[in-house]
Amino acid sequence: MRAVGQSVVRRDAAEKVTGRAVYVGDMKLPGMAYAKLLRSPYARARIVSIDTSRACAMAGVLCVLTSEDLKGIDPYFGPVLKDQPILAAGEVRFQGEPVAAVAAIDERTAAAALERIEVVYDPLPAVMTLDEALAPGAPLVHETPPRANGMFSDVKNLIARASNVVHEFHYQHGEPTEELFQSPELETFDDVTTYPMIHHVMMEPYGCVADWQGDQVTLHAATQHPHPVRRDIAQIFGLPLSRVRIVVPYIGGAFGGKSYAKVEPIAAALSRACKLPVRLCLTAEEAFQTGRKPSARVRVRTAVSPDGRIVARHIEVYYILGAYADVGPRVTQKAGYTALGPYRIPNARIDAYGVYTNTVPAIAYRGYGVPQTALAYELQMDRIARSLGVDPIELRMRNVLRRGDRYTPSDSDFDADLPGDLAELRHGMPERGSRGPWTGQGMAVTLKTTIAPSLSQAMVRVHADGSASLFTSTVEIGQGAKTALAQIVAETLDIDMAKVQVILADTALTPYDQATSSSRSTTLNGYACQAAARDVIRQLRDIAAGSWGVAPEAVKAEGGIVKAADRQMSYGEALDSLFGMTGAEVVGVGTYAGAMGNVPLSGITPFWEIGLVGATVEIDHDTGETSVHELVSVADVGKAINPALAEAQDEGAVMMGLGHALWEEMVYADGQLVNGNLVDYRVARMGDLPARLESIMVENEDGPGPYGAKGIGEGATCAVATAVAAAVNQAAGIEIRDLPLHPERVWRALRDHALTAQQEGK
Amino acid sequence: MITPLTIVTPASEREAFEAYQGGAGSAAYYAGGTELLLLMKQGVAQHDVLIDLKGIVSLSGISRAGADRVRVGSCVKHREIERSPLLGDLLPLLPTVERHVANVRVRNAGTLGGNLCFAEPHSDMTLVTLLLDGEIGVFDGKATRTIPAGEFFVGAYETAMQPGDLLCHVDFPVPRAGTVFGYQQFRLHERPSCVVGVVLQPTKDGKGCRRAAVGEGAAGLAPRRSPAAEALLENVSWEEAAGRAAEVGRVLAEEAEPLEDLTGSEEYKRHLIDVLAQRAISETLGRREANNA
Repeated sequence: MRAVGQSVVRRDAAEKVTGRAVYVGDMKLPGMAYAKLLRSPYARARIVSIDTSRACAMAGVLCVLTSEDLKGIDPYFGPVLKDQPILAAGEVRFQGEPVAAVAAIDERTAAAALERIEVVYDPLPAVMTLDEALAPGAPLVHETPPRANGMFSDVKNLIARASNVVHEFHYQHGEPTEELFQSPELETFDDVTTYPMIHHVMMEPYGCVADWQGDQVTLHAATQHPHPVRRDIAQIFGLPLSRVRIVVPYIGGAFGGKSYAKVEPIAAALSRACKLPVRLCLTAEEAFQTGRKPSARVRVRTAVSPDGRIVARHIEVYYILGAYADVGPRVTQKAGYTALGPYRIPNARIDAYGVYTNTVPAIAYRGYGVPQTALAYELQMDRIARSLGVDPIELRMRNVLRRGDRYTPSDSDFDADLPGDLAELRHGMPERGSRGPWTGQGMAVTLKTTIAPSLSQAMVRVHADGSASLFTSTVEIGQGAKTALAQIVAETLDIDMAKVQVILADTALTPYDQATSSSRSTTLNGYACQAAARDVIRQLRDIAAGSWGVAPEAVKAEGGIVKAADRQMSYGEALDSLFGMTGAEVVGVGTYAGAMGNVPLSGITPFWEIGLVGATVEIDHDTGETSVHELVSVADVGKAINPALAEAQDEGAVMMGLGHALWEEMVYADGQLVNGNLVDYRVARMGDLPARLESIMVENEDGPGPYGAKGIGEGATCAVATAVAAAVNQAAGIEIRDLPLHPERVWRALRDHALTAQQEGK
Repeated sequence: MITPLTIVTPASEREAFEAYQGGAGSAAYYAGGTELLLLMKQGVAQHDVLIDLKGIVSLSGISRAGADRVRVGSCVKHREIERSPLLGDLLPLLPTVERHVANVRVRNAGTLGGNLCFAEPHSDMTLVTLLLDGEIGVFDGKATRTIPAGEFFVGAYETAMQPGDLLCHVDFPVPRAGTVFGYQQFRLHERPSCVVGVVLQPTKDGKGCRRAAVGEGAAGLAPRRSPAAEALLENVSWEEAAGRAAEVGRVLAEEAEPLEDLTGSEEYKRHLIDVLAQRAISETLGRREANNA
């Protein structure tokens, strides 16, 4: 292969390192106005009145919007439920919720105008925690049940009653009876873990430039989801899809956070109102008020046979979704469904709940709910291993799914070689015989489905000189799609990569793609790109066959040339021969359409994404500080289209997970987010890089994507924090079940452990 | 968001003072801007006039001031202190701690004077200035007076300076040869949550400790020294000093007034002060042994 499997330099490298790459924040359209948002200071309050007259009267202010000004449109959005108002209407449901929007001649004027908007609030009791939300008689975050969006065919059981539980997912197979869990022949383990609120901390916060012209609107948006956002904007403003254009420039990191509509509806409403292009770019602090990872409380009960086989497992998952549902119901059912872990479990029960609270809405986040449940089931696997006196990897070996197994009896075949992956980890991270007293090793293995059903379309044009352009709506979010997709097309057309141009994410030009998310772009969008390139090849062979009077099967396409027997011509010459003049092109189209099926989630997952990480840590037993010395990730990638980029994605996933393990947590006090800024919120930094960070690529060419590729990039994120927690528990003989592993938390666990040991000693 | 403002660039301390008086209460001195500009961006501070002190020659430079003092100008950057051979020789605690202050970008812009004036509770240099008995030279428009570090730090973001006062320099007495130090940080974020510093001056015969400076910072509102902890380490042999580490830790932790924040509870920080104090003493004595080896 000449392009696929090569670590070619990424196409955006030079632009990005020289600062020439254009992001939304760099854009400047003629006459562009600048927008700022007024946000709620309360977690929950009734809006008594809003007086915008002083702001409107300010020189330089072009328009001021409140929910009152959005009467002519459908002013609600949300990918699953239309429960989120563009601007708060009647009630605010979290501190930081947008209440009014200003567009002005510059950002400073817009900011000054915000101070002249007078809002009278009547504060109401808020529910900030899971327990508060579930308490009998708790205030309801939404008093009337919201409408469904209809974007997802697979979301069922939306609760159409007044409750803080917005969604439930239940599943069962075998006979996970209480009798079984109480059986004297089995040992039963019962643990509860909690997972905090975590923010994406993408380097580029949210941004959009909206340009309303007559009866159509163009949005230059930092979004991972151009087509779903187009749909939202069309529905909100009552426009045909063809009159909404979403153009996505480079994106400075997304991590799921730029899924579905966020700031785009407000920017569009402002542009429509003031009849000028409007730029709405949030600050990093405002990004904290826009979305976060779902926090969670998970209880897992597992009955194990004396030889270390899981007989039954019951998992109960509560995702805390904040003030608006966003994708929360899908996280609840998708990650709820895989919460049993990558194991053979004959008797299983899952109860998953998504719960509203008066906090920042939970949105998509790399891992899509899996890290939260993995913390529960994998720390418990370690406890089982300790109790049975079995090596933790060996315990997993006895229980993991094998290729061809069914995760649940009615699901699709499992497609990875987990025993092989575990062997890679054991080999890649040997147990240290000479470990210090406060050093420990831990691991975690996780399981994630990709988005299903799944749909991507792509188009390839072959130009008169035999070069080609790929049109597809994947977004380059830093993962390297622009490069990897060019490699796939160049390989399939069998031409030089330099001859392949890639045009991404402009809904007016590029065909439909469901989403740049769920580790799917290289694999599933890549499949559509490959199919489009194959369609072109088919057409070129047909042309040559017609021209030479031979059967199409007799024509081969190789190295930019079609040939049959002793005749050959270049792709360009083939086009010329068809039209009798030069210039014309052929256009190939390709589609990936994942199937619906009679599986518990309705959509059949096109692949199973594995996370497998090992960690070696040392703890300072006086202060409780954790030093991570070693992180090893086994990435089951199927086929690395670009090994350097695949490795970089996996390493990025590991480093992101390190922050989840040790520091990251959004903290609320009295209804206020107290560390929603980059000074007080701590992520992993380059200085935190462990002495050894290794990413082991497993390439079994067993994925559904081009050349056997599988999705990557989320797997390690699902496993790192749990592996580090397992290592800390092992190092100190403690049982921490909550993240992050804050030094004080570890210190307290050590102190309690020492006290218990002392008392038992007496 | 920073609102429009005027930057003036005085050439002398007097010109700077006059610019301040002319600013009608809305002027502020600034040097590195690493603290002030952040507050202004957040809207916490607003000034119409910023007086850029970096062009005033007399506020720059690190030099000997007589036989037993080193003078550090208020506009000397953290990075200059970190890399100063003179300080490395005479007052190595300063460059050693500077290496761990914030990050290299901040150290290349922020100044010692700005740091002390700001009196951020989590500052390292406030505690270090206190431990080294820094004498702070302040110009009040008429004359330059000296404020001992022990009287300078009044509270969080609060010093003994009056509005318009201009911090010109800090004089550090050069400690006796053989003086050793230890400095321990507990740091989760850019700024430390707890720090403990120890400076021990030897007796003439070098067999024990004559004078001790022991203090903690970052955990409470302002850095503080502990005379009680210092007394435990003065006029004792090195072996006795080592044996008293636990007691010093206990005294320092008891006296401290740590505040609970996102990095830890009051109880935890008190514990950390104890741990860091013991480690700082062992670091100090380790340095002495390394010097003698």
